[in-house]
Amino acid sequence: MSIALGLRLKIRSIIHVAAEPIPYFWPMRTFIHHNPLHGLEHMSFEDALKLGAELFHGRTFLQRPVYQGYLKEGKVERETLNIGINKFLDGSEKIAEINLKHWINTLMSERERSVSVNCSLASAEQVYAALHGQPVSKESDQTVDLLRKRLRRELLGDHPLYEAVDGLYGTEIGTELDELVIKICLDFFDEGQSVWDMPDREHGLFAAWRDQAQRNVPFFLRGLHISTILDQDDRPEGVIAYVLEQLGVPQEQWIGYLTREMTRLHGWAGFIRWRSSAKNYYWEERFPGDLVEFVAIRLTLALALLKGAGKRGHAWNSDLIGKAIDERTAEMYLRHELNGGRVTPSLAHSVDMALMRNKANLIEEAFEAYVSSKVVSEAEEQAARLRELAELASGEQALLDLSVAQLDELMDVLANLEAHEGMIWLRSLEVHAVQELLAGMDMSAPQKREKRPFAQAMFCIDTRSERIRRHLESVGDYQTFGIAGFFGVPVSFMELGKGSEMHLCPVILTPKNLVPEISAATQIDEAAISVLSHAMHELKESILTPFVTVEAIGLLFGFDMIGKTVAPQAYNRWRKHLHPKRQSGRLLLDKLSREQADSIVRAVQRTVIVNAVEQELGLAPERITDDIVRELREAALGHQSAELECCLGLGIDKGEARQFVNRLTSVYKISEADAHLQLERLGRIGFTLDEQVNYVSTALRAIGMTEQFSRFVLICGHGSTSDNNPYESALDCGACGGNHGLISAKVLAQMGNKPEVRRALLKHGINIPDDSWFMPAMHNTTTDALTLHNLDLVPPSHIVYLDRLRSGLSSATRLCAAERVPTLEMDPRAVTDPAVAAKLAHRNSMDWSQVRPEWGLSRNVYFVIGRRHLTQSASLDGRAFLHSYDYRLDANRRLLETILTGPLVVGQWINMEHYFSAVDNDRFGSGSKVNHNVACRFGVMTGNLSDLRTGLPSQTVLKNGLPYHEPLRLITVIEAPFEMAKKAIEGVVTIKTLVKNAWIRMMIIDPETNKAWLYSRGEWTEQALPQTQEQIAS
Amino acid sequence: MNNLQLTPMKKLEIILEGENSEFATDLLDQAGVKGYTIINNLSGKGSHGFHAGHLMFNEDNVLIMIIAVVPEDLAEPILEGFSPFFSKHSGVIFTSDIQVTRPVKFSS
Repeated sequence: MSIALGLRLKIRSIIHVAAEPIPYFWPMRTFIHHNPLHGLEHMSFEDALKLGAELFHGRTFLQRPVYQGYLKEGKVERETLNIGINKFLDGSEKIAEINLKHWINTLMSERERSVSVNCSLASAEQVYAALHGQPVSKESDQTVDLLRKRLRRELLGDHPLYEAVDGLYGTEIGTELDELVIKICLDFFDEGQSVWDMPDREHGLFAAWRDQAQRNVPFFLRGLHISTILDQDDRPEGVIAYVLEQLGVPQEQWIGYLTREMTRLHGWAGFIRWRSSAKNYYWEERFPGDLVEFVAIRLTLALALLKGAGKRGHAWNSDLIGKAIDERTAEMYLRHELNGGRVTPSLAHSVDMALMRNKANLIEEAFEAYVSSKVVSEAEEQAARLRELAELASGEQALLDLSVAQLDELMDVLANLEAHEGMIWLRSLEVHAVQELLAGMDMSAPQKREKRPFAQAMFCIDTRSERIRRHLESVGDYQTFGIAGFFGVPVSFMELGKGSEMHLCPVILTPKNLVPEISAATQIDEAAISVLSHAMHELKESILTPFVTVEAIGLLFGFDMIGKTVAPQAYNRWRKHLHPKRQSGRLLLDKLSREQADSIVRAVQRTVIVNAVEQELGLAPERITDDIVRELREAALGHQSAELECCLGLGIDKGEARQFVNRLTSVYKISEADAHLQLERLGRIGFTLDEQVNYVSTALRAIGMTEQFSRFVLICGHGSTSDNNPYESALDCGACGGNHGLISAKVLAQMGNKPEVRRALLKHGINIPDDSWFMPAMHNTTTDALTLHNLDLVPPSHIVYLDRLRSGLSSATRLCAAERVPTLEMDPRAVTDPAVAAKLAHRNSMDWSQVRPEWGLSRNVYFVIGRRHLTQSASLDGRAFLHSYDYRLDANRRLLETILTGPLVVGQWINMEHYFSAVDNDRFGSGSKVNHNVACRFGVMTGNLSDLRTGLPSQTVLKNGLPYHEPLRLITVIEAPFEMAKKAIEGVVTIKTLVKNAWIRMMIIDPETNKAWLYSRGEWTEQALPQTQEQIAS
Repeated sequence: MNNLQLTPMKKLEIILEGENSEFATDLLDQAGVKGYTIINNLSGKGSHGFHAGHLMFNEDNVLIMIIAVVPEDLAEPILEGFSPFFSKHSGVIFTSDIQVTRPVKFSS
């Protein structure tokens, strides 16, 4: 029995749409910073935060005392706050004698707790009475009706039904359901962490689970008759339709209902959502599982648990609960209050007894008593809080003078304010940040250089580069530039010896070119061929060194642990001798010629045939002659008849030979069609000359580096080193898809040094002199070390200058560590002695007990697209993404649009990830690392069973319990003529939406008119420089 | 023309944002549609304004059209299947009556 096709498709569609608010969760091997509310970016920032807070049960702004702290520290100015309050009041500034502006100002800056009480029963009249010390009465007539409506709204509707049941009867169905589902997910999605596999995973998530569930004895013993539910349909959609119908959820509510079902485990839901849409993800191809199946499993278990509750006499579906609310309102109300923990101790006993005895008159009595008591306590609490505020604001008499209607108005305004105050604080913080930025900017025209710099360096836009760039510029004649960490060249990289591809680019792109690493010999040799054969056979994901258990390696690991803990640096130096470093290879950047590709395919076919003969016919390798291989190959390709002479040599008869040849064709893929496909895949390797020229030209022109090339042009990728850190990828380069940037640097350097590329670049107006050498380098953000790579390729003429370059780099390293390490360490010597700071930084990268090896991108707030001159004289404290850009070289705006469409989006994701992890680390972040356990090899849980944790850990964004990262929206600056920048923004759909919906704050600085424009509340407002508070805050 | 048997079928033209292309083709696969054609890089005007056919760096955020030819009894379930999606996303589906000469290519 199954449901109609139309309904089946509709349910798939509904689940797709219902899941959209849930952000993707990428495996942590390549951690991707992502806006947790990415699915809500089509809404305005303010609206999205409201919905997000409800869906994910989290706070979307800091709590008031933290903002008050910022006010005291001067990060918010009182004047700005007042402007925000004025905007909120919008003209109605007084109620009788109460000066609202003053009261609200006082409330926000001096009162820690909120002033509004969420009065569910008390009205303004009753608050008035309490305020004036008069007896508080209870309105009896409408109360029951009101409560009935309210209960229906809160308990039925979009919310999962078991939440209502838990709320009424104190059961824990929700928690139990979550635990069961988590366990199922851990079993099914495991990627090699556990030793015993779940059976039958190839059949897919639902089928594999269904099989087990129907034989699950503990379920049966508890009376959970899953079989009746699963018998309805063997497809997940049918089961979903059945359950929702049984629960009585009307079809119009399915989308909202299912969204809230999934947000209960938004980590797992986000992971499954990502996995089912990931292309070429090995584990998904082997063991497929999608959200429809996930929801089917959840709903099946939910229905079973609810029916169980039904057996105990509880109302368990929409109909029954609705009936109970309508017919036994008082009882349901009391139940809801009692299990919600809102009944005061003095009344709890009588309420409890009344409910247990279940006698109508007792319940009536308890209800009356409870309601009167609650009205009184709410009214008194609200009155007390208003009195406290009045006292702070010196307005006690004015408060008492209010009429009931005016009091009502006051309470409304205050409640409204408290709901919106987060935005007021946020805007004020941003104003201050904008002013600080503008104060440090240099808007004068940059001077033309007389001679070329000693060296130029391209760094990633990552905020950590800001520091090292500043220090490098200070130690000598160095010119630095900022560009996205993959240098504009998306590559799919295959490391020597590994069989899988790494995408080195932002996750929003898919690289089209494959770059394999081959051994140092520049011709295609045997080793290269084996690598390339991997390229064609899509082997499974490489197994990276994980979080190994102690038992597995035993004493040696124990040794490891001791050495690593006691003396990390000395130990690591000793350990390096145990593992001589592999010779790093060369990157194959050029396209293969047709002949090379053909010979590779042939070589692979030959190898496969030899293996097949060995395996299937059991022949020893020395007996498999070249002739035999050639004959088999020709036969498999259909080039000669199946009369095989080699049969004798193979020891089989003609019939078996023919069969074997057929197997070669179909199973081992030795056929013309497959060879063609393989050639196509080999065609992915490398870049054509035109492509190389284009990438180099775009990169250089995007950052404005088109003349006065130095002797050394460093292309500097970045990465982080830490030990025992599931989040280590989060500290690497986001632009490189969560990997380090060295490979991308090598790619661009190799392209840029090619003589043919340089000749072609002349036509683009870029003249790179012969003595200019592009050199890849690596910035280690944990230690700030800058290492040069491919030194063996440096031309002899340059070697004499290397010393000067090296000493400049190491000075910059030490100075940078000296600035940065004090923010991490408690050792006071780090502040004064750069050498000590550098050593401590180095130790952090190896200390396996260090939960905070570096601050990473915490405290990011600015994104500047413009010439270095604009920001060079400012110390931005490692808080800015700096992308070099010269508008004079960008007549058709394409370079600017490229920067907006890629790097800026990545910056916004990073900024929003930090924002939400900082404002509510428990719900949007992942909590403390100390309690994390790795799950399935791609995520972490808190404790031994929890949802997959998303977001950043507390150690990254908090310090001593308070936010270290200041949650502000990304303040973006484009240095270009106003019209040009505006058109570029409007031309890039993602950015246009982000700006319009206020997810980022956008500022345009026009260097030709020397004016600044800020986009605020829907329009571009011109600012004169330097800014006055009035204009920016509006 | 002689001896050409024409079989009536329904043609569905689905216009939607490129980022949802996988969802749409998935749904068609689930419905048992044997094949479809995708046209990329469209521009056009809708209730949300003008969409430029703009590819560049980012592969998403362009408009595409998926053309599928299905037996008449599949058309309605497919439309029903897409209705929740189009209640939240921009795009349209056009259904038209067409005829084909090789029905075996379109129905299972």
